[in-house]
Amino acid sequence: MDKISSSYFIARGTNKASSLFKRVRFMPLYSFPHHAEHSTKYEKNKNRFFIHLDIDAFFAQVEQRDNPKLRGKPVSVGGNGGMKGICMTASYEARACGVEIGMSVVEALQLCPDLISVPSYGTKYEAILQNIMYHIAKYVPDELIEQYSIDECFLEITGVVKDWFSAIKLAWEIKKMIWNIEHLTSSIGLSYNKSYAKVATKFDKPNGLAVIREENKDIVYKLPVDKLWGIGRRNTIRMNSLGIHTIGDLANSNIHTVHKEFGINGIMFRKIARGEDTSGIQLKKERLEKSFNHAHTLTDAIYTDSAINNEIKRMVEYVCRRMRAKNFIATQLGFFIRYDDLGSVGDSVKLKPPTNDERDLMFYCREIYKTFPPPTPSRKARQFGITTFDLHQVTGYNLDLFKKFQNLPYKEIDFLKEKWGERIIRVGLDAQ
Amino acid sequence: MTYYQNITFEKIEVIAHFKELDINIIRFRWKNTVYNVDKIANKWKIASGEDLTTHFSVICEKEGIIAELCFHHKDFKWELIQWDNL
Repeated sequence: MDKISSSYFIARGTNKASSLFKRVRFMPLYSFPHHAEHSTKYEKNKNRFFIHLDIDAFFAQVEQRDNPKLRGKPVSVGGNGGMKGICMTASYEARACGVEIGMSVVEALQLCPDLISVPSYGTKYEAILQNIMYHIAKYVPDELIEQYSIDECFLEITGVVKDWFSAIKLAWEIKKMIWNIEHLTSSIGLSYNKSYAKVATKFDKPNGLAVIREENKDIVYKLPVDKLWGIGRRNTIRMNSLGIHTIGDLANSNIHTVHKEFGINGIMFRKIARGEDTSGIQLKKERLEKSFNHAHTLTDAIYTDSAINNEIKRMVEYVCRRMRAKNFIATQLGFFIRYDDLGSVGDSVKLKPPTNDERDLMFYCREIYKTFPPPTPSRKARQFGITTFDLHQVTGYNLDLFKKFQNLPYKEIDFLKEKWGERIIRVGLDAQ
Repeated sequence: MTYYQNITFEKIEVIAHFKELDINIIRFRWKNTVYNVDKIANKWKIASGEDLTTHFSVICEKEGIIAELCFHHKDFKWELIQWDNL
């Protein structure tokens, strides 16, 4: 036996590890440094150290590591391993052929006929990631780690190291640790602010370590402007029209010009380009929910009444359980269906009284569904979506004299589901 | 080329060495063929409610297969989830 790794426990829905689990599953969608969190006192933020860690082609690398047959070959992960779906990630061999992340598998196969498309194995990647994060937390306190995406994180090591030498040493140790525990290569960018750390990661990919200090920030200035964090395709076109082609051009641009074109974001972009990003580690903030929604695209489209009922039931159960877990009731319900010709219909209704009872929601969903053109063998339903909004937080319930259903012990039902798994108990919604 | 895994979810017999919390698979029998495990490439655990499973990615070089085995802690049963030729 060569190496055992990833023997890290993923708990689903148990209280003990739920906070850790959230770190992986519910990542900040967009943690671009917001202007409100920027301190204008840049001088105070000069002597900081940030690490940006990116595991190279994470999913593809894991599959290549576990299956010798895939090593050295162009591999993409995503879809169902068939022609459907998109490339969630691609190995460097596939990227050399022009395969990009987000591309459909069909498109990728046209570019790279030898491409091996493997299905994604989410739980395995989560286990590996949690194992890595658990070990990183031994080097850096948990509150100084920002999980930016499934395979990327920022670490602020200002309080952990005293100079650049020890910062580089720590970065190497983290890289080495990831290799030792998981046999995965990673790229690290080290800099005095978050944005430059992210840019630095791309300098020496894969399996590299790049450092950008204030003294050598000229190397960043030579890069095209789209390499800067937050500047995408559309912003690049607008920047180019202003004569800004490199990060250096942006850094030396007139502040009024960029402000006029991009508003407050223009000032932000210019600050980031100049290396004056003063944002720190952003932790996930508890936010008040405004809506609960769930949409599901089926691999095989359906049209029979029973199959559609089952799909609605599954979604209603899921959304209601989430609402009950946070003590919310909804006043409005939205429901939509997308057909396999990509046409869609949707509608919303007011719930009377506001509820989080899955029987009520099932009833209203069925009522909305009756107004839709029914799916047929030639026009099947492919995607279903449900949204509850206009939410109110409740602490207790008033019994309703005229309610058509008896109250069910949902608290106990949810507890059983959490303890024994989803299928242990279900409300008989079909019987109505 | 599109890659299809052979997904089976079949019950199998396994000889494994349990030492403290560690499980070391030695060989397994599937469809009356014995496969000697040369290497455990990866191991991870998944919990759903109180049901805990440990997954192993194993390589049998002589038989020329790579397989994912799953051990159910609740009822001590083994399962072959998927396999592929090396």
